[in-house]
Amino acid sequence: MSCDPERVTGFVDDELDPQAKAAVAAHLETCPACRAQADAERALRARLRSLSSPEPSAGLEARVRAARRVRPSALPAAARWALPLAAALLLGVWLRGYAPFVAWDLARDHDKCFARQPLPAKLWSGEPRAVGDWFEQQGTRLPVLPAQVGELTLVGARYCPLASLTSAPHVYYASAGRHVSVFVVQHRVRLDDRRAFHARGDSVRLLRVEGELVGIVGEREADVQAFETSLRPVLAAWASR
Amino acid sequence: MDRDQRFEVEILPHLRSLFGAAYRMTGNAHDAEDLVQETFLRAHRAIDRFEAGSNARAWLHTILQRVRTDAFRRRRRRPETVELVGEGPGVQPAQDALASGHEDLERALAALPENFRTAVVLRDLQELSYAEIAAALGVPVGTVMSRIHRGRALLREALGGGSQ
Repeated sequence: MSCDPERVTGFVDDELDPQAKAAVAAHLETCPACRAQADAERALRARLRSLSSPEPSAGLEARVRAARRVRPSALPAAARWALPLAAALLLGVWLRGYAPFVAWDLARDHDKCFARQPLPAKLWSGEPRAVGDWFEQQGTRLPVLPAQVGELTLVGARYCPLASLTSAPHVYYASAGRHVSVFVVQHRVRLDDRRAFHARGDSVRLLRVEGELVGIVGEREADVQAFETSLRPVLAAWASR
Repeated sequence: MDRDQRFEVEILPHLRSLFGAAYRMTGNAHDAEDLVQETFLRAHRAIDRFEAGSNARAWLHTILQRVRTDAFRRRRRRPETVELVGEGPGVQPAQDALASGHEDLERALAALPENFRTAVVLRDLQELSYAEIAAALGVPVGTVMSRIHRGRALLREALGGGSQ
């Protein structure tokens, strides 16, 4: 083998495969120059290993320990999704009872239903007793609602799914392009003095009746106002039953 | 053992040694501490990917080189790809080592082109294998051998030990 100084370096470091190692060893026997290189590299390596190591400042280890504690990724994997999930649940529970959100949700359902052709009613009737009986068969007792308020007449009813994951009795009134919905919300809603809302371009009134809440939704403020006036005595009588 | 315990037992004991290597790579204590701190934070985050029983120091050097590359990239400057002998920024020798009787060696090491200096530091001071150095630097084993050879040859030349 001829001189190969790089392989001599590999030989000194014992990093050659057995065949190459044997070849270099044999070469060193006969080549004073390569032998001198090997000796010099060993001596240099020994000097390098004896160099004293510079010391880090006392603060480095403390900083490494402290910084790794505040890294968000230091949280266990479960905590990374559990915290946002818990926050979302709390927000959901809070929203469920938040009156403006309920008003918005009722307006959303009102718009959705009246945009559909035909109206998604489960019961078609202009007869208040028939509507009351139908709800009672499904297990919900409702006050006897009027057959007509102004020009708006009773047309039908159904249960509507709300964002709060409950379903609310929903009664439809209509007259030539004007619509009013009456909902009965059966979960707790935090309602202070404010009971008139505007949501999605609709007018919404929320009236508390015992543990329940009656919501009136319509495109026209005057229609909703008229329904509130008409329903108040009915609801008062129902509440004292 | 949980992550923190593994980090404590298997990784943290290498802090001083890594600092020594980083000091000789960067040439000053401030940059070396920044480099080592970021390396250990990344190591803590990635501890699940560290195979128990493998060489922790080699693994840390792989991370350290990535931290350096990222820093270079951020500064829109790449580490020189030295094959030109005699170029590249020399670094200041470690001041506390100047009184140790190895001043000439410290100076010669600091004056080496960066790629050769890194290879020599990883081999002769950190005692990594060629394969571990190749993995850390992302270069073939043959390149590692070549850089160590040339680094040592330049050191011997600078120390007046003659050539091969």
